[in-house]
Amino acid sequence: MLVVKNLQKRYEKFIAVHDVSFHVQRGEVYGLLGPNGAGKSSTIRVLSCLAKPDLGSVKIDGLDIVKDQARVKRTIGIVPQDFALYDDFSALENLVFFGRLYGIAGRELKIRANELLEAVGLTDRGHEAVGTFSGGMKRRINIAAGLMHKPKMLYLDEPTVGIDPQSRRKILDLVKTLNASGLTVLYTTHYMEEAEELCHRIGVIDQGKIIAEGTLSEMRKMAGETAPIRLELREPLSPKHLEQLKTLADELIAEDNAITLFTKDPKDALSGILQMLSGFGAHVHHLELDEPDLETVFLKLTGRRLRD
Amino acid sequence: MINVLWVIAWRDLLAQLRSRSFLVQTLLLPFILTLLIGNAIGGTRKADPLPVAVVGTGEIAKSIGGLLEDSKIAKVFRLPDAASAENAVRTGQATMAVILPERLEAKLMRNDKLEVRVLIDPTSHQRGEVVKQLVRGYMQQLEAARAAILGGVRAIAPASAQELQDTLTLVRGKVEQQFQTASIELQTKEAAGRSQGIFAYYAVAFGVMFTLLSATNGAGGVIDELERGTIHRLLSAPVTPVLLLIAKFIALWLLGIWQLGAFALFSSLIYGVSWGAPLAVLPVLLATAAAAAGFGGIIIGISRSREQLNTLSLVFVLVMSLLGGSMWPLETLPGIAQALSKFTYNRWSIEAFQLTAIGSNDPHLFLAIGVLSSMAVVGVIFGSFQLSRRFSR
Repeated sequence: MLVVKNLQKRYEKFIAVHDVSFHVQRGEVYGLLGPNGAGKSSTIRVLSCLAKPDLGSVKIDGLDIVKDQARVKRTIGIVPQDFALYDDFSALENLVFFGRLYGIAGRELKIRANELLEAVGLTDRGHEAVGTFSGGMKRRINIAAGLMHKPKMLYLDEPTVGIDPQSRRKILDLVKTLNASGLTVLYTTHYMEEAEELCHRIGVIDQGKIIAEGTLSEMRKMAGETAPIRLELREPLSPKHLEQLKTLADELIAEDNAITLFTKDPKDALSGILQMLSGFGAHVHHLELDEPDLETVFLKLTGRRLRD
Repeated sequence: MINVLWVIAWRDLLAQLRSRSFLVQTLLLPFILTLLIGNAIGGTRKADPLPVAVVGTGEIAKSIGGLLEDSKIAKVFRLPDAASAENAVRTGQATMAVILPERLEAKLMRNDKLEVRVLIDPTSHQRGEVVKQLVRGYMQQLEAARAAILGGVRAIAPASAQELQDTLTLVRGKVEQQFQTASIELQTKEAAGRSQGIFAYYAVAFGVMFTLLSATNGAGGVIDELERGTIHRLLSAPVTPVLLLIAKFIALWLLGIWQLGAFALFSSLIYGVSWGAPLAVLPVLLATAAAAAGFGGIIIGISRSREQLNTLSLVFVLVMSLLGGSMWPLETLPGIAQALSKFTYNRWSIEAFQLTAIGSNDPHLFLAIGVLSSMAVVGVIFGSFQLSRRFSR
């Protein structure tokens, strides 16, 4: 459905997207995972026909994104990171407006708008101005607006940023429902748990490059057999203490007062680690024992956490 | 394509018409200002005649006084000497004074040097200048009459007393007849639309200025689209930057037509300002609104932020209005400013409306419509080019 080859996008001297290649199969949810500023939105901008690629090629449903732009635009639906809606218009008016841009009119337009209002659970608020909506409601209408012209592929750019857990859950469920109905989805996020829940395959992007790609299980393998113990201390440890602590784990990554230790058996190692920290006079503020996940992969590959 | 243009333009129109601040700024504010100015300067009433002091005795002084009274520009009163006339101007009793030399008729016939002094209060400079020209014209006519009489008298060479008597009778009759029939006939006709009074001038000038203000402010719609991210959704739909700019232009144009049209209607209904025959006014109104929308297009092309847009709008509107005759009549500006005013939208629009107001078919009217339309086209091309550059990177 989507084939990206050696894509490069540069803004003056800054290379936002550097030699990115990936493909998304029809009916798949592909997650583009990376921290803020990794190049996700720049990639989406190019894929949305909002910027021209400097190098490389992008084909969507067999159409070249530069040469067949008009047809590509009818194939894709975008849900930008911003609430790309008119606050002074009602939810219904917004949907009708965006539908009309694609030439939908008359009865078909009304039916489609009402269907989508129902799909996002906002039928009863359809006639209210979007400006009065909560963040979560706006996010849902934002998705509906991207679906008005029945695109074959939907780009969702960080669709759950800044909303409450219930709204987030509704959006994740909505994406699953849309995908189940056959919609191909490109989903960018910096929330690993969303990528884990939704995506069939994931590309991890950092500093404009795809640094890892695969299914969730493939990704977990990349993390190895070790699992992370995440600690947050009140004060950062001295280099000498860090060296001593490292002897209790296979790998240690320290960032200020946050320490992640990778070990094959975290539960066994934990008591020794806490004892040693107590001996250093360090106060443990927060502790997490996790299965290997995308965060672990990202941490292992870049030495940095996803949410940085 | 037309559907897309209309969909976007209609949304903008609807959004503006729903906005209270827009309605206040574009309709209420100009109306209130017009009302204030209208009442301050007396509605459509013509300007009061200037009080003019005339110093001098004899037939010529009387005749000049009559001439000025007939012009309806001046209300004449007599003073005995130059000192009291100067004092009258200084104290504001008179806005100007015409001081004729003593024994003017005798001096004229002797071909003595004549000095007619005209004192003008600088605050009434414009109309004072008209009076000055009238006096000068009158003096030149007197000079011509004197030369004609002198020539006639010199040509008299009678052969007998009877012939002398006959000739004098004939000359007297001719001179009296000439002075009666060829007395100076004065028609006061002020320039173009200002014949309706200064309020009519400012009604047009303000209407034009506020249309530009609304168009440049309305251009902020694109900044809003950028800030809320809708521009990304628009441009990822089958909409190109050029189409988007044209749609915005159409919206600004329609708003301009609506605003200026409402303003014209309001000023003609309340104050009786005549903008001219509707069919003549319509093309000027369309061209004016289009030119204003064209400047909106330029602002869209240049501005990257709301702050930048506000500053640019202010500069555009102020400079154009100052130079283009929306703040004060063009004639009062220095030569260089009058030359520069040809680059302003206000000048061409005001001049065109002045011509429609007097029902003129002067070629200048068509030139003005042409210039305004060209401004619109240039604005659309520039804005489209800039917006395309910004979104094709």
